[in-house]
Amino acid sequence: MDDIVLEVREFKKRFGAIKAVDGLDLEVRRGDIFGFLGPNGAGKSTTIRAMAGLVRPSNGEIRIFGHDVWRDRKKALSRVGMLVESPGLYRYLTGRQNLEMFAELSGGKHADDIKRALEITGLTDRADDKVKNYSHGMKQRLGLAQAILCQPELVILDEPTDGLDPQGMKEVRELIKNLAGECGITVFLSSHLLHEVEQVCTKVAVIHKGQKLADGKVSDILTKRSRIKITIDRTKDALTAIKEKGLSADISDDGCISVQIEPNSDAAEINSFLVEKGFRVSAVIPEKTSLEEFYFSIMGEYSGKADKA
Amino acid sequence: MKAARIGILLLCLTCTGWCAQKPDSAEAALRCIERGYASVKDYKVEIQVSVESPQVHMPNAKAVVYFKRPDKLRVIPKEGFMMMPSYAVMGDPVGFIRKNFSIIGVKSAKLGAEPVYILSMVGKTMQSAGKFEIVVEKRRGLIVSGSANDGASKLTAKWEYKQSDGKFWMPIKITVKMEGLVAPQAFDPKEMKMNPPKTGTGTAIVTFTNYRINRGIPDSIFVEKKQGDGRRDLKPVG
Amino acid sequence: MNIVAKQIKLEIFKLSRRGRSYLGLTAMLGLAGLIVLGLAQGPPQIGGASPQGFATAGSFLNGGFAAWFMLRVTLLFFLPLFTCVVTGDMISSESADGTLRTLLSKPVSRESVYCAKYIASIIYTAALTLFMGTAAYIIGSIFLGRGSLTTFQAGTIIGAQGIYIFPETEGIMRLIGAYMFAALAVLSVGSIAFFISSMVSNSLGAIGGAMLTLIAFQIMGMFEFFKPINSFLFTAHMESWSGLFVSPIPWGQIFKSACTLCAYSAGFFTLGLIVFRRRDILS
Repeated sequence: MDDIVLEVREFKKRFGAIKAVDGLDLEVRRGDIFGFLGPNGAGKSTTIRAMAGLVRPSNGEIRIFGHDVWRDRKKALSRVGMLVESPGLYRYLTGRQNLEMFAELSGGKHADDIKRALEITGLTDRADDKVKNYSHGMKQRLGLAQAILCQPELVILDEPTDGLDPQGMKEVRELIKNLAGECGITVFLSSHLLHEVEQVCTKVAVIHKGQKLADGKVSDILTKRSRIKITIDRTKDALTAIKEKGLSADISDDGCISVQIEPNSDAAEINSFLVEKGFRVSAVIPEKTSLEEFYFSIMGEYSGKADKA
Repeated sequence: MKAARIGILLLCLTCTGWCAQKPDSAEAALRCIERGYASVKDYKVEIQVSVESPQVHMPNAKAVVYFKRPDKLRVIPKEGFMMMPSYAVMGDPVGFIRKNFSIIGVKSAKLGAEPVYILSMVGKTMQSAGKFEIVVEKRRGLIVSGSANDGASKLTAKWEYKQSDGKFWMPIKITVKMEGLVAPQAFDPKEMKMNPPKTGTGTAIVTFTNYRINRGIPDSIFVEKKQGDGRRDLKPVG
Repeated sequence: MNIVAKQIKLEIFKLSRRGRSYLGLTAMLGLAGLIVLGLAQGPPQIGGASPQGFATAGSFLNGGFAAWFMLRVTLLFFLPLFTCVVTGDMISSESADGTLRTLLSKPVSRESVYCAKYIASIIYTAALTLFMGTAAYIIGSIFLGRGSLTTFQAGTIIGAQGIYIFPETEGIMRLIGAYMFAALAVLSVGSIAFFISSMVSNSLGAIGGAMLTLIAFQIMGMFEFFKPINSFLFTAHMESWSGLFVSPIPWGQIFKSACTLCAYSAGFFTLGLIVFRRRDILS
């Protein structure tokens, strides 16, 4: 239990008649880089706002380091850095003044922390310019800088790469990996960029219409959903045989058979099976499943269930 | 803003009493006052005014008064501004009377053993509206008392004199009593109606000290600076 | 340093960096100059007849009078307006800019954020009011001179009438007291703006709401129909400062008015705190 830094239990949030979040459960453990995925309006921002103590849960609770965010917010947030949606910064102050102010509120203004945050986000040269003169990308980086001030143990980021150019995005990815890897900081981030999440996160959860659809380790998800492509003679007969075995398979555009690998099967076993059946297997190539495919398959399954209901 | 210069501080010093010999007439009375005052060419005096009144609430105020013939008069309050009884500080009394009043009656009488003129006057200007009466001591040509009545309020004044520099009879104290004074009506927001008029009596005492008579006063003293030009003479010359 | 004290310091720092904080100060300086310019041409039409049997000597137009007159003409509209421009902006502008989101994601309680902002508002209100008086006094003294303080009471809530003249030093002390009372009066309007600001993201709404309340209460105070509730309206007490310029000073009346004004400030502060604590920050 000590490992759990962020815990969401049966979290519900209503805005009038609208259910923004409907019974969400999440667990984030120390060292995780947790990706929070979902379409627009799924409830991601509401959940993150609730983690920040900005919205009051209608039901359930959110705990950070064991402290209820709403009832004991000072203890809950004392080791947390956050970037909630677009960075809220004082436009009439300089970048440095913004950081100094937020550092004071986070428990003390340490010049080294501010200097480090500016260096990490590449804002040292513009630190003494007023924020109103910053570009969108610079504001985003300053928002990140205020989130990593004061050496937090948990960083919650809402769309951290929003507005950044490809170089900026790459830098943020590296930063997040660095925070988790070298600094041991747990990261919880939401993003639309599935490719980014796949590269960075160790765990993901998918939310839609206020409900969690799936969660788990990225590696497990991708493995569970991995496929192999088999080049074989008598493709249709082979497909039938594979399906009779209980495996999910279909013929891809290039004429090969694409087979879904189940947990209790692997490529070698399928190859042996086909050979025993008298088929000539020319090639067995693993197909890497992307998080995007996983995401859309989850959405597709949800839509299918919703239609049936 | 102007000091309502009224009356004349009778500086009838060494009136030899020939006034008493003259027949009763306005001109005779005025000449009596004039001769009593003739030897004073100029003077400077310090005054202190204390007031108790439903309309005016003021701590004891000090001022310096300058007078120079024929009609230059200037009052310089120490604190910049003060209220004082009308007719308390005067320049040339006769000139003032001629300008502001019409004498409608003169009679001789006795105040104790002292023969006096009693002049009845009516005001010519808005500021001097009402009926006035002054009592002039024939022997020295000094105004010893006066009264004013505008129908609603009444004012009585008494002068006390002392000889200054051994020859000039100068007032040292004027005591003014006021009756029927009405404070301005005003709206009371609590009661949502006009306050009833506040009437009452009041007194004012003017004392005069440190006379410096006929020492010469430059005309520049009497040039009043333009209203609000920012500089106030708190240290009078002389 | 205690966290609330830290936050107050930060709020004042933010106020000092915002242009609109200086709008009121500039306006008051300009108004003071305008008033002194007008006084330099002659006394204002204060109303009321000259006291019978009295003459005047000298001029009552000086720095002290300028400061007294300034309070008289600005307290019921201009001063509350420029105060509300800041107090009505304290929370709503941060809500609109998104900085409230960032602020409240820090390990500070909502109560401390709210209280720090309110205390900063009090400091600003007091500073603006006292600045106004000081500016009027100094500019008036430079161009009109100094001297005794003359005031004209027209029978307001105090019920006093007539002309009151005070020696210079006493006049200054009374002026300081009057301006302190005025700050209390203006704070009651500023508290309304602050309360509305805690609920909305639009500063104009907060400023307009407070000023509308001020004007509406002033209008209500003119009608017999509202007489039963008149003494409960804060506007009926805003001018009790004039009691400091009569003798004897009606301390009971002034204290009662001060308590009423404080009650309004405290009431709107509390209402705003209740709302702010529970409010979902969605902007």
